Amino acid sequence: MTRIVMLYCAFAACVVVLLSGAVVVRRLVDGRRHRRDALLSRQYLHIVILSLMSETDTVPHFPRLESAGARMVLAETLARLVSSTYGLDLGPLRRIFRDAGLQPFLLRCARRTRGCRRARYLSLLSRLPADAAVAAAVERYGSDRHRAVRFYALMVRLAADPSMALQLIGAYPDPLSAFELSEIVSMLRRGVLPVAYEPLIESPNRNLRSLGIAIVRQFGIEEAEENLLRIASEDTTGELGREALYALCALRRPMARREVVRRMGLMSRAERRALLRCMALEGYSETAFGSPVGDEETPYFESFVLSYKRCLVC
Amino acid sequence: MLAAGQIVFVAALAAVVAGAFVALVRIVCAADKRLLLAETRGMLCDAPDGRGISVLCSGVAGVEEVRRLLDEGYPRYEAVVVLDSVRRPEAFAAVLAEFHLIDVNYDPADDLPAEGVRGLYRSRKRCYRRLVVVDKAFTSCRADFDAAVGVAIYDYVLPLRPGIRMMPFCIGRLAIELSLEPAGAVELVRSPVGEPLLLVAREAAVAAGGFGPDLVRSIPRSRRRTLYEPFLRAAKPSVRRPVLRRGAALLLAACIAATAAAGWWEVCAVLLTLAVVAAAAEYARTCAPEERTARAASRKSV
Amino acid sequence: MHRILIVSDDPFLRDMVRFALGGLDAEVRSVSEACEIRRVSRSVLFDVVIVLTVSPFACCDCFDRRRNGLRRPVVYVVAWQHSEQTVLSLLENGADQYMTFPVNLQRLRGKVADELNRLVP
Repeated sequence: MTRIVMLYCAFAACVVVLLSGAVVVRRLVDGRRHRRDALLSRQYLHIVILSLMSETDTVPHFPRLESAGARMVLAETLARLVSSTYGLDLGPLRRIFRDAGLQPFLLRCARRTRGCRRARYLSLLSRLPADAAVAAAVERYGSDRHRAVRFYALMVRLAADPSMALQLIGAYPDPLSAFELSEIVSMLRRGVLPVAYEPLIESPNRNLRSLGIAIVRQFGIEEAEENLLRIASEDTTGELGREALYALCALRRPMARREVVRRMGLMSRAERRALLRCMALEGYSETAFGSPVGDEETPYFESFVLSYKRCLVC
Repeated sequence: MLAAGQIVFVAALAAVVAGAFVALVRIVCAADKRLLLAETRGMLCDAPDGRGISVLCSGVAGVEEVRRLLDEGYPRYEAVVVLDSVRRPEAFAAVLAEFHLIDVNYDPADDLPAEGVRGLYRSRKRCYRRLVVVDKAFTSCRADFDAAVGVAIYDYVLPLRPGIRMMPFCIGRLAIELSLEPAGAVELVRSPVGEPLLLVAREAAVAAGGFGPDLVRSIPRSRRRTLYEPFLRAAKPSVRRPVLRRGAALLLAACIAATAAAGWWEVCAVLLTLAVVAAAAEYARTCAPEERTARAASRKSV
Repeated sequence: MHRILIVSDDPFLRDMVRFALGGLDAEVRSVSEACEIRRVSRSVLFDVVIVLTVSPFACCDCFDRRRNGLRRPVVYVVAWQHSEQTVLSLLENGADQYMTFPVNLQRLRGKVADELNRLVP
């Protein structure tokens, strides 16, 4: 029976050798690749910006594009440039994207991977000037097991056909999380999505309403106050009512309103206190709020409000 | 019996190897997720409601460390620094002067009892509004954290022990993780990789009576999340650690060779299992070279 | 010739702005950390400083008011945050212009060019 132990030792020794070899190879390859990629990225960025500034129709030449990993570097550089800027002339970018074959390359990479790696390729595609055909190619990822893949497939389709934004977001099967909403709003900031808040906030669809509230909060649209109060009074226990209250707080609207008081009364103690802390942070005074939530919570709220002040006269 | 005993012995070692591989796979997947999320910028613009993080700091060394704490891009973030003005008067005075702090009304929330607090300080300058200093007599780090929770404004708190620093993208990454789920769904986030991380919902910490040993157990498993990424590191990492690791690896290899040559297969099996775990840990280290890459990437160019 | 300093811990953003300002009659330098600003400023007088996402408050503090009759550089800050408090903090701390990401490179270039034209060489 020592044989079993010897066999195990042989197996473990092979695993150690393989892992150690993998560590050495990875360190060598990663080190060289990082240096090379940093240089290539800088070169490609320079070429792209020169091309954008020069306003010519010729597609620039990218050195070493056929080498391993270079297309990925170009895709990442373009995606990063697009997400950090707005108002770029998409013509040159589309030509570069097409000539370098980045769309089939990224779709192929997405097909061959799973999970977060696939989501990353889709995330890159969503930021690049892909054509409408890419929307059909990523449609099948809409039912992927991994949530990030489903979401970034939606983002690719939004970028490919912004006119279908409301239908696509409305049909998205999962309730949009706060992170996903912030990603969609950042697409809006780049001018990719032509959406207005009113049809969103009035929509019966949960995702569209959430997006409407996020837009109201981020762009400080005070005219939406009545809409928010209506949502707070209609959605008495769900996430939307809570989001509406926080949006009102971010807009610094009066909180001593009947709808707000009623909704706060339905919150748990922890949720109510979280909202009170948010109000103290936004600068609400202890008198402006009144005492709609009762004697128990008022001292709690006041303790935070007063910590932003200093008594000069005792 | 002897055969059954050996089978059990080998099975136990194989289970350890399997556990090491499961952890490795989780770390590799976590690295992929981190790479995906590091490219997102939506959260930096204007973070959504409710996912703010208060960092609670005990044993801060001085002005530079406070400045490092404030050097954070995530908008809904504050640093609550607990200092003892009697024990370290120079450091306290330097922080007060540098960040234009004044003492403000201190009326702690009824959350956790805090003894020994002499005062609360906030900055007169708007740019340092994220800094809160609590002047408290030092008894223990736990007492400092409990006092800091009383004045923390955000829904999640991250205690930082003395000598521990946040790595780049720490707060942003945690905020994204919290924002991936509905509000209130997560009460605890921890990570065993690097220095141990424990991000707790403020209300959960209060309900558990502070940062005691029962804190984690008091939070239901369904509301706990474990990430396999490094978030914190030691302020002064030991420069001898890589050398010690290499030395230990050589010693282990020599012991394995010696025990195999001597025919002590059981001992050899245990040592080889240790070697597999060490090799897996080393491979996992190559998956998280973020700090190294960030350092390399931010080489100045003038 | 005018001098422009770009401050950012992100090499991509540094290069992006640097390349976008190419062709202007100016020498462009870049640093990655706020602490390097003082070192570089001792030997070189900059006309425009563009701060990208590095803790902007630390950078703005580096540009004191007029020293020895020398002109204080114009400080542009470009960052991701949109909140009112951040913008006001930066303006109070000495930033002359605040722009948010995503930024229009042509607009940034135009603003910097106008600024350089206004300055006496």
